[in-house]
Amino acid sequence: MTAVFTVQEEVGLRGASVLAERVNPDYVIAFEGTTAGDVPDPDNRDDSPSTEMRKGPAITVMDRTTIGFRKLKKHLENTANKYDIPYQYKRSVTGGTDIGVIHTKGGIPSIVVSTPVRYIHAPRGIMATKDYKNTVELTIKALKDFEEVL
Amino acid sequence: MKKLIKEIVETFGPSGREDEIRKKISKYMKPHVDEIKEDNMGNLICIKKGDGPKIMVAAHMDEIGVITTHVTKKGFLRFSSVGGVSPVRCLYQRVVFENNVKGIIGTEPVDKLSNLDFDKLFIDIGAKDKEEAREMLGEGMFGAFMNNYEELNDLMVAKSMDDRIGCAVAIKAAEKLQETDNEIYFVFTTQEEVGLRGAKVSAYNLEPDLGIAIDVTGSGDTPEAPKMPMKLRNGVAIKVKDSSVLVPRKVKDFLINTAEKNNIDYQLEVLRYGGTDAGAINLTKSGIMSGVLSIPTRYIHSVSEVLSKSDVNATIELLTKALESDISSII
Repeated sequence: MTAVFTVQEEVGLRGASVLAERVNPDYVIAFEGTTAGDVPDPDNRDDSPSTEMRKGPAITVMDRTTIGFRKLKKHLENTANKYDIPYQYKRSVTGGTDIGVIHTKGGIPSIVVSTPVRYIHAPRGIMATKDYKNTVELTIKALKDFEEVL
Repeated sequence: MKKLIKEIVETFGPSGREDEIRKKISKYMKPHVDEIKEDNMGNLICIKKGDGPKIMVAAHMDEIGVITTHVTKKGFLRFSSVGGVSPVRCLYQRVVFENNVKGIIGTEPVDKLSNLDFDKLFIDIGAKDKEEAREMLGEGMFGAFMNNYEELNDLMVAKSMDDRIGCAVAIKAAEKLQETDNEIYFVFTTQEEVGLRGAKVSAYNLEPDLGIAIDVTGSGDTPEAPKMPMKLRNGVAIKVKDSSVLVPRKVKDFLINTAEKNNIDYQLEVLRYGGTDAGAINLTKSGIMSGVLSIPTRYIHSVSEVLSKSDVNATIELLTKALESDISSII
């Protein structure tokens, strides 16, 4: 297992773009903070937010840079169900992550797991401690049972 | 050929969910190649072995579509586009999802069509309430537009001619191909509509000497159409440029010469917008020679994309001849 803390993601996924060649991984899991939109809506529209706080880690089905690999998506869902860890999907398809430039290098199966954060890209981001803990928990269990993916 | 085209344009396969269409194409390709494999991105790679230079033919098998993003309180689904979908062209269209649930796209009241965007649109799957909608479909499900194949005089009409017609051309070329030393990879790529991703991965893994993409292009022959040289019934369009690639002159000239030598009707394609798999192939590793054969098409990214049979035949012919050629002088 290689843990990588990337640089220059915010200016265009640059740090991650050289990673695939260096580490040459078989699988990649990326961690992100993603938009929690469960805040008052003045228009009261019949809609639901991208993610909601306190509802568990968010698995990305698709965003601007990646369509999550189904094998890994399934594994995360199965793991969450097996260990009773709450999870949700990231519902909006906007935003990009490091995975965008990693998975296209030869087609490395990749997925993004995010912790919901309100007011992202603002001076104060708020997250729920239990979402953070559940993201950690889901990751540990998913890695422990990883042979189910193989 | 009509049966082949009808079958593959009507098959489900938005970007990221190409399983069904991959199976169908694989079945058609099997008799004509030595080996078939699939990579992590779901690209279908059909290999005709040879000792000579390696040519990659890329036709993307994914189609534009939708993805559900929210279940509303009243049991409708909000959605976003998969690839370049225009909100106006979505209105009241039928869609089918990966679990076979069907729906109709509706809109909130809007004063002006120009105010229409995806925030206003929703999909009606006939659910009674939020719980039922969630049970039937839920979030993160991929859908594709529905429409049947039709013919108008000598023209063909269908959804997803972009780029199933390219897939059909590649299949027919594989069938017609005479003996050649060239090693040919017919690659039916995935996720083109969301950023040429399948082609990027397959070119990286295969490292061909030459890439040829087969795709649709615009046509300037409808009332008040944007100015462009391509027209239906004028033959295969040999690409000069689009937003993703400036076709290397050697490749463009090679394709023109091959068309002239074999008396194949051709026209030049100069496209101000849009991109193809050739753009991704061209920038792979240390740079790979690539070009494009295009089929002029009206109403691209609508549920009724229209093109001409004679242009399709010319494209098959030119692709076949190009693949049989000695390409040592251009690589």
